[in-house]
Amino acid sequence: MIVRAFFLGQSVAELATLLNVPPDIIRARMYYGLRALHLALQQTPS
Amino acid sequence: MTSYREWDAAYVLGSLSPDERREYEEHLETCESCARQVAELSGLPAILSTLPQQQAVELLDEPQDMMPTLITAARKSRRWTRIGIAAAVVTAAALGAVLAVVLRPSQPTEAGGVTTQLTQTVPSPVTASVTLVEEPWGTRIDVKCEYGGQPGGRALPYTLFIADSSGALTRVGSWSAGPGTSMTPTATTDVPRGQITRIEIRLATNDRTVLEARF
Repeated sequence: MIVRAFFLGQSVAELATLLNVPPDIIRARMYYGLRALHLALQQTPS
Repeated sequence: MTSYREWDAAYVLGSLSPDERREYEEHLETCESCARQVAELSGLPAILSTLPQQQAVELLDEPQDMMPTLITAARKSRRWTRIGIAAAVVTAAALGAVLAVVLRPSQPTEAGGVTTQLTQTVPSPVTASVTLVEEPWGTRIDVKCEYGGQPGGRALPYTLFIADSSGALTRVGSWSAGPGTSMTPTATTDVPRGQITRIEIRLATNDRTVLEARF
């Protein structure tokens, strides 16, 4: 989802149509996905 | 009433539509908790952009561990994340500005700035000029992009990047354009006019630079 949004520039609406799920679910997947990435990066010792 | 709680990631990834983005930015002005959420995520696009686009897109077909690359990038940017929430909120505001790209109806691009023609780095039907306008908060970049050929062909996505004097390359906007059309997208950045060293327009499908200007 992150790759599609950030690197392919696909919008929430495009992804909702493409994956046949409501826009709210797309935003939620980005929400949880980006947080998981953020957390994983924070937990890495510097 | 719309719940904006889960809109932050779509916002920082640049995936909201222009209308949704405006709506969310209005909400951010009044909602401290959403503004804080955006601030927390605001460093991630810069870290993600260290991954070459092609490599990232290949992940859709062949998942592999990209964490080592991202961790290296995160370490480099970590000093920024340590500055704290107050600074992060400022960053979020700046990021909002960076993500703000509005497609405007055609209008003269000369508005106190200097217009520069971009040169083609690979042969293509696309020509463009940019006008950099100094603003108190950074720089406004008015792009005029002409796509030759007969109208009716498939539109392709383009991205606008700026390089600054620190060597950092930042994506400041994107749009799509098809044959026989003329576009005037405007991008904004917090980078001062004098620190912009290069502007690139890339074809987003392969991340190849098609036009560039150096300053």
